[in-house]
Amino acid sequence: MKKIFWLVSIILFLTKISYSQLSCSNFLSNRKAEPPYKMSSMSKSAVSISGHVYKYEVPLSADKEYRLMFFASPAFNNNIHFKVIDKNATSDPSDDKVILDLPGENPKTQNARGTAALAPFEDKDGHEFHPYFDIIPAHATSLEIIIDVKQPPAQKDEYGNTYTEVIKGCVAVVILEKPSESF
Amino acid sequence: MRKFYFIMMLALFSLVVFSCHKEKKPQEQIQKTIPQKDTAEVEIFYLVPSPDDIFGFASSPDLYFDPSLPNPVANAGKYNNTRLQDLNFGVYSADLAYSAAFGKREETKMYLDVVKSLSEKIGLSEVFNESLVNRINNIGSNKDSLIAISNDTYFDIIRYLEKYDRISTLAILAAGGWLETMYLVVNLTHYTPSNPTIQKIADQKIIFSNLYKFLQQNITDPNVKYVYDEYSKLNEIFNDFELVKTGNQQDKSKVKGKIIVGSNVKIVMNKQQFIKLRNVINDIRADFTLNK
Repeated sequence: MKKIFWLVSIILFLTKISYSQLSCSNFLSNRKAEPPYKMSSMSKSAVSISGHVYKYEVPLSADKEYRLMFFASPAFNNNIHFKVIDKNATSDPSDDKVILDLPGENPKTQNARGTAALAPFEDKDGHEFHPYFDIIPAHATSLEIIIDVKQPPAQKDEYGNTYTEVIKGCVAVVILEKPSESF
Repeated sequence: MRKFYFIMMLALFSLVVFSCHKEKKPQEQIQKTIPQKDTAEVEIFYLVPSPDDIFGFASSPDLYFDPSLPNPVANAGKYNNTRLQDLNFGVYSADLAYSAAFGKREETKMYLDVVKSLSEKIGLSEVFNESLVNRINNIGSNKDSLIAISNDTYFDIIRYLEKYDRISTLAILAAGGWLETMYLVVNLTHYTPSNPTIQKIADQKIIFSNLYKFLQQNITDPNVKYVYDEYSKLNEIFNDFELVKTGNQQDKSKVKGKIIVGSNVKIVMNKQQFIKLRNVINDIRADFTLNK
């Protein structure tokens, strides 16, 4: 019995270690697309750390329409800056065009500690929606999504030493797509 | 004493089960540290669409299902090293997407089986859980459900590889999937400048560029390096494609509330470039799949 106990303990301990290494995949798998949209395989969630900048290079096809949504762990308290640049297929930076420039914090959500990252909006019937951005490529192009996870302001402890909180959580870029109708 | 160990085991088991439930929420941690630098660290993710996403253009009128094109399932037994297994996992995933896009039930089932069998060799068998296996076994002939199962399988594989930080495998798999998709399309299409499929092939320059940078990012892995070196031949061809400035010609009134992107530049591929691209794709594909 003693041997079995130690064997089971070791197995359970190893199981526990593997579970502790869980990344942010659940943060994405909980999101579902509603027809006519389907979830693009390019949707991505990643472990993100305050004070870091994450760039997502997203190729877009001309025969599709895309819907972009952003989600972040409540721990970041919406203190994230989102910027989306149309790279326009050229390597010339003068052709780049900023199409979205969104500070995560805003009066409606800054104290909510929700997963919205951006303020939700209501339709005319009062239904609340997670904010999304519809993108239509006229020609194939590439978007650069820049997610700047801001460092919280430095604080002082009881002895007067300065410290900064390092926050680790998940940020997800959800990309939905459907066949193009517009062009 | 036996009772003591039994109770201890039960307690330990409960502890692990409850903590596993807790871990299902996204991880969040807050630590206090002394600030050390002013500049933010930058991490770049190069995203590559799945073969299913690329086969969005299976609706093009000149594309059809040619059973002689996909990689024969019998070849799966030949892939006896990690690089070939990873690459051909991607190749077969594209063949699966191709079969599903044209509503071919038997072929879809056949390629699902070969993908499942290769998954065991490269440590991805966990993706094929009971629910997915049941879906495969009860697969219908409805085209949408075939596409859905092909798409979901690929999606689960990507999430699994990301979760366990197997990024090199992901890069090789994506490279194999993209190559097979291109192989199928370039061998089904004939060049005419007005052919919409030709424009879609030219547009692959952007997806390829991302894939190439993704491989470059993981080049310390010798298997990735091999694929990257092969793809440098394709990079040369794509770099020669002409970028034509078109100006903002689109009728924006049709798309109120939506953001128009890519409206300034169109990628143009001429006939010689198409032939060269097809030849190099065919050569690399023959090497990767051992179809020489």
